[in-house]
Amino acid sequence: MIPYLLSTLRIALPYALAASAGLLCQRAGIENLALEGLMLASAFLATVVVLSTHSLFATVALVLIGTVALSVLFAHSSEKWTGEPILLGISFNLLVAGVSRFALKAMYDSASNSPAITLDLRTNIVGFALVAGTYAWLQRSVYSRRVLAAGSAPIALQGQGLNPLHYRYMAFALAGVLLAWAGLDLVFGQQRFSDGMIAGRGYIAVAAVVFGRKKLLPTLAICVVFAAAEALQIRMQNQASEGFSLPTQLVQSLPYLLCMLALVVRRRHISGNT
Amino acid sequence: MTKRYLAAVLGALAVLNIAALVVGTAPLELYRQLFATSFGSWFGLSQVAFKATPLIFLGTAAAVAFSAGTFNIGGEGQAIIGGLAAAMMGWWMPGLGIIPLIVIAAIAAASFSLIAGGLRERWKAPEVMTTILLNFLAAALANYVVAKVAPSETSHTPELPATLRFTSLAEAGIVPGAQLTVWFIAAVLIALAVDHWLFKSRLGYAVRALGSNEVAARLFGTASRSTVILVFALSGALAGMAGVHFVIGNKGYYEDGMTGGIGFVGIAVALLASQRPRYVIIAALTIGVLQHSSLALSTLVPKEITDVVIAVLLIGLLWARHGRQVTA
Repeated sequence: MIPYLLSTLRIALPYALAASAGLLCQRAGIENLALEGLMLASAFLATVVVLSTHSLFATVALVLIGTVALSVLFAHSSEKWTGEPILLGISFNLLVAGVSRFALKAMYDSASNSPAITLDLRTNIVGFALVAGTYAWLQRSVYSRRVLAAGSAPIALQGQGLNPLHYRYMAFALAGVLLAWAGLDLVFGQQRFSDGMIAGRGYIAVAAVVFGRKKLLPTLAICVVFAAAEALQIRMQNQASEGFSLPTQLVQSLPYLLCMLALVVRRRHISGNT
Repeated sequence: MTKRYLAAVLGALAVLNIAALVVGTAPLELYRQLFATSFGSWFGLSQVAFKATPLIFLGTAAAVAFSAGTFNIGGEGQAIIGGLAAAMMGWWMPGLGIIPLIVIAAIAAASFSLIAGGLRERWKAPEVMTTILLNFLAAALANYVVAKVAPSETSHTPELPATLRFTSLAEAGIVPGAQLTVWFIAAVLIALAVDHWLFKSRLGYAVRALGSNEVAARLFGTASRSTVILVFALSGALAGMAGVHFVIGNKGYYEDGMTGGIGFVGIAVALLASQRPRYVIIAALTIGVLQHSSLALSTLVPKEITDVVIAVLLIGLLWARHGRQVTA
């Protein structure tokens, strides 16, 4: 039982980081469907930097800077250039997937995998600290209230002489940090970059955010439920040889099915423009 | 804002240039080859049309959904289900005939799309999310079915008999090597028919009214719940026809990963065509040139660049659309 709970927590970390990031963006008033792409970008950047510099410090620094920059760029292009966060988010994911595939081919001459990473980075403790920190920050700070206002009542901020756009961008910058860490966690977890390695985690995180209705605790709770389903799936696959079996594809679909269920239970329309 | 559309297309081409420079090929050489492989021969032309066929269906599917103000991001999953249904039913009932088989595929894909439509109408589950998740579920279902029925040492469903397949130009002995089938003509006709329906019929008007102002359209009774359901069914059936292209029109069986993310390309096609099915045909042919030539050019630039170019085009088009201030 204990190993099962531990592996659930382990699996929940990237979901929790991504969902916290998505929640920040949603509170700031921009639906972020680019979670998938930003995590993929972080993972790919990490691989490239690690393989070329062999320095953990450089990797973490560059990945953080790069992902934060991309995240803010996404917010800016959504606000100023397209006005369509949903379609832009999906396009952004396609772009990152395409660029990483192209770069894998051009740099490592492989269609699906990078060479293995030999360095090791313990991402767990910092990861959970980041999630806990986000929670505390959302609870306690005036700044986080202003982020919320930037999304739901921008005019109130303007009345105080504050610029809502500033708070939106800051929310996306913080989301960038969380997503960067989620990417690092995934790539150091499997010790190499592989094509499509995020495997829908970003979209599942978006569903968790929809479920959570701008509250972090329910969002995190449903992330843990998804992770428990995934951990159960891994466990069942290991036991399949011992006479107990369900179709693996059904078991693998468990998180997605749960996700659909969560959307039905706690519905909220995502509108094209927020 | 035609200027912005032009800029979006040029921007996407610029990506191709940059990629060419990065891997050390002269851009001009790239373009020369691109035109030569696509327009230089009957083979090239028919391959472009062949690549465009599923894109016409998926582009039309996305365009219909956009017109009604809904997002169908599930073209990929619906194409998988359509293709899988055609492959399985054709295998079970070889005497079925090709038209009933296509109808079955359409019904299967439409029903699959209606899951998202029903969840939206009944429980207000956002269709953006449910269609994306249904893509994963469709892939898992297909994976399961293929694993059950695949003949040994293959990873696809059993092959369909020749009576349940379209004859390609190569098989008819007209253009050697060309994979183009009659399904391309069907795609063009269906896109034109949908365009006519959307812009010239009463129901089409209701659909577009729903897209421009959902509250008003529902309040005045122009559109109702059944209009939304109809849009989801039609959009799903159209996407399923792309699956038919892969199964009946090309391979003769369903294979895992055969659709390869083409559902998302369909969204790019719909935006490029500014959501009008009749322009979708032109947009799909344009992307078809890119997809066909990327294979021929893979010695010059890795073919993965197509995905990047299409994504940049998509983002550029969103930007161009923003300039026009249209409602989705």
